[in-house]
Amino acid sequence: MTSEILQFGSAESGGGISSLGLDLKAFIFQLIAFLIVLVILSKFVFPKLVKTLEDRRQTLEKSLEQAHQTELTLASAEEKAKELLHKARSQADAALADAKLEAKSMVAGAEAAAQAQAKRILDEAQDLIKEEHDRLSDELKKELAGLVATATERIIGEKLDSTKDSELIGKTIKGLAK
Amino acid sequence: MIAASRRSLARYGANQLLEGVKMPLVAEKLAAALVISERQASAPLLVADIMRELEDRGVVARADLASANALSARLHKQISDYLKQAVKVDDVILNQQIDPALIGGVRIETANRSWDLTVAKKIDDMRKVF
Repeated sequence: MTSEILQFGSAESGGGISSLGLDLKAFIFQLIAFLIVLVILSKFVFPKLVKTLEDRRQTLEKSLEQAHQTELTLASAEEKAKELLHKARSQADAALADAKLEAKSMVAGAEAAAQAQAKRILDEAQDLIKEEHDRLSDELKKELAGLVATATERIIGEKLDSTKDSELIGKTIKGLAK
Repeated sequence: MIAASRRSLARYGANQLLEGVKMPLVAEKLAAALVISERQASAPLLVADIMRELEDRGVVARADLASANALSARLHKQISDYLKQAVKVDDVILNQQIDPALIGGVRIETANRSWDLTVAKKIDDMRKVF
């Protein structure tokens, strides 16, 4: 077949294709060479290349898929983290509010207790003062009564002689006899 | 031997005196009874009990008079007459004591009754009112 092709080429070399500046022999040789290279490539190189490329493509695809999954997981984790943070913040706020309330009520309780104690101390002091006042008042009354009685004794003792005393006794006995 | 009570001894003594037994004899018998029962210390109380008996029977009353000044005979009679009426006895024996602390007035005490008509008592009452 090749010799036929060569013969055809040389028969035609004086006319058509050679007027275009192309060498048919050379062209056919190149074509054959090209075809041999193509066959070799197709048989030995292209499959491996394609396989390699395919493998790479698959790997890339897997990687992309994994990256996508990772992105999704990350997004989900971020979402969860946000949620946890939000929860924690809410709990912290609630705990703070509770603590503030408790502190307020403790302060109010302490204030009330202090006020009650102050009032109790005041009442006790007032009772003590009243007691002391009453005691002193009683003592003064007794002393005054004693002074008045002593003064009366002295005065009557001085003024009452035996004659007046006898008159007094006589009148008293008469009064009893009635 | 069971000792007679003071009250029964007083009744016995009063009966004896009213029956006309002489006072020294009655006193001797009562003293013996006290000595036997070892109650010599209660002799003054027995005398007071006898006086009480005699007063209860309306025979005689012994009145202790206490005053700041000595009382006149007129006053003695006045008091005696009053006591005969008040205590309902036929006779009254007055026993006078002077106590200047009474200031004035008189205190009368018989076996069953007493009257404190002294100025000291009135002043004391005034003290208590205060």
